[in-house]
Amino acid sequence: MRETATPQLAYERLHPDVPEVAFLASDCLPGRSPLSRCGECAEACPVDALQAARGTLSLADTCLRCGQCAAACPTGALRVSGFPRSETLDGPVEDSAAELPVECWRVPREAMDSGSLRVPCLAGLDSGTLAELSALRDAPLVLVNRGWCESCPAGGKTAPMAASVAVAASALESAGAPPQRWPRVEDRPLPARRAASKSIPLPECETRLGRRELFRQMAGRSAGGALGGAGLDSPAEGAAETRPLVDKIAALPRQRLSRAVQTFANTVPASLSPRLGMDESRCCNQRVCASLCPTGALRVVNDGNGSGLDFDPADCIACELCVRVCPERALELAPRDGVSGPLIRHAHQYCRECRAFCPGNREEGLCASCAKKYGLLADGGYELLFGKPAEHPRDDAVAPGRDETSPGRAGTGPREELKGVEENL
Amino acid sequence: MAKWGMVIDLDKCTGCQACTTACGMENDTLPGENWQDVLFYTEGEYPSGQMKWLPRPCMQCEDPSCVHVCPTRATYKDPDAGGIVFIDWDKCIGCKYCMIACPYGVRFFADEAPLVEPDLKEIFPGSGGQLWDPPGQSPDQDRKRGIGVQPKGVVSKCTFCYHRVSKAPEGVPDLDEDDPELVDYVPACVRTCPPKARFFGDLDNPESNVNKLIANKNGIRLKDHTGNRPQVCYLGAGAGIPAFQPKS
Repeated sequence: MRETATPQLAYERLHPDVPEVAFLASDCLPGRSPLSRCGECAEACPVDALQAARGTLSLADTCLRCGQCAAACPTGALRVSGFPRSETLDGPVEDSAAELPVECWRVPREAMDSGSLRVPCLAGLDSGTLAELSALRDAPLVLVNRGWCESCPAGGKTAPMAASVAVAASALESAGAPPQRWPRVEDRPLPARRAASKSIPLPECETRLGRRELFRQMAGRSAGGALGGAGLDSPAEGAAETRPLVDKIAALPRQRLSRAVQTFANTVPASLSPRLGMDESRCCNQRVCASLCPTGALRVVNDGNGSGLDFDPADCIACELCVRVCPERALELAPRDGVSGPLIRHAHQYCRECRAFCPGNREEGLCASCAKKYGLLADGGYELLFGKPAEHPRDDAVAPGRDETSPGRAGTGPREELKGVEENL
Repeated sequence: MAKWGMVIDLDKCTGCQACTTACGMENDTLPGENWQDVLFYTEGEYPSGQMKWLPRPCMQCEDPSCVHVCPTRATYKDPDAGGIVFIDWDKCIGCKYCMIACPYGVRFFADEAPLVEPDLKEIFPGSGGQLWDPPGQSPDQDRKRGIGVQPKGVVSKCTFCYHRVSKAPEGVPDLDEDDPELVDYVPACVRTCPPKARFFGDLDNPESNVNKLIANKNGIRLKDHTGNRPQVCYLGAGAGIPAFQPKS
């Protein structure tokens, strides 16, 4: 049910000494298009170990493996091992009436509840995962704040996990979830001297203690290898096939959030639905936006009523690539109140010369390639190629792009016999 | 590295479209996906109608509009490969922005309903993500340069037959089809042109025949005001059939 295609994809290590951090270049927005200004991962890194430039990431060995870069990534192009992935859970899970405390790896096991979920750093949980883990259970997810974050190298502030918890909680709230199922942060201070280490311990120290068993308890079922992140503990290097850019990506964090709210509401609430505004007078139906849309939220539609675009805010990650690429600047994006459905429809048009279906909103009645053909003769191109026009003044108007009678006259060629075309003209 | 250029003599061109056919056979393009096309223009009316034509390959512009607009950097000009403009089919998303931007209309998207029946994509269905499985011999697949059978949903264009041209010996000024040493490296349209209206050579080499032709016969570039600076030049006073002149 929750299987996705991602585990087979070529996640690669960013640094040979940091196998925990894996990167899928084909899902990275600036890697897909230079129009993207996304640099969330590098911004989120608390120790500036991650540098992002034009879709290539470089990681220094000072990486703490805290997962904050992965939590910030809007498309799930980054993964850090040690964090639960809600895709691999079927919900609702058994034995889920009790609240689930989430602790960081620095907390010693004897200081915490036995059933706790342990993650390298609480700030490395993205809001989608928090929301979905909460939605799958009856009781809330409690992120336990031990009061060490401010002095922790991965934290640097009082409660770095609070932002994504707030996003997840407000998402569930707007979907109508009862308050007891919202994730929350709870302060249970512990003296800093009781911390198991000064910073996030290495995964070897943690896995020895059986993180997987604990998570299995929480899931109430045999979790298998997938929970630890299949293909992540040993990410493939180099040789694996990359996904062509023409394929759409899954944008897992957004999907998690959508799934979580859809367990309570049938649709994604307005506060979580980006709204794509369309200036219908500008749109020329070129569909560049839909091709560039990384998730497929913007789709090309051809049906009996015409051709145009459909928009589904549930898949939209508000990356704004469509807005930036639109040749006519016809789109604008607002953070909320988006509705699913048709965005724009244009009447079907057929080229009056070649009779081809032309998606563009073409006033002159010629498809793009026929317009280009006559465009070569415009602006002095005719004189350049063929010399001065013929002497007969009647035959003067050679550039038929501007001459209504010339190219598309009825009866000029065999194409007029094509069925079902004339009535559409 | 050479900067490959093509010269087309419109005084010689007969509009026979052998170049179009040769290109389609060489590169396994679909009907209508004519990387090398001959455009026909009619003017006037019976009995004084005229026909003119213009062979049109990709101009391989020095400053290509298509490269500037590509939102994924899939199309690029490769100065190390003779200044040819290629499409990386792994990066192309089929958005067709390049087709909008190209002033010459020499880019094609074949993954749509065909203009001619039957649809060859259905008769020779492709496997492994390929658009179709052409019955003929294709050049070796080079997805990074847009050579070979194309995958679904990408834009394609003339590559100046890079799979041939790239094998030419270093430093030759011209790829002349009459030279038995070089004939295998000549682009298909140049190789096949029955009236020998096409010439192919190195624009960076002052000794090359193409440069001499452009200089001596006043070669022109199409739509020069766009600043694209094509690497294809036209010679002559145009190709066409003169109008019928009734005796007075």
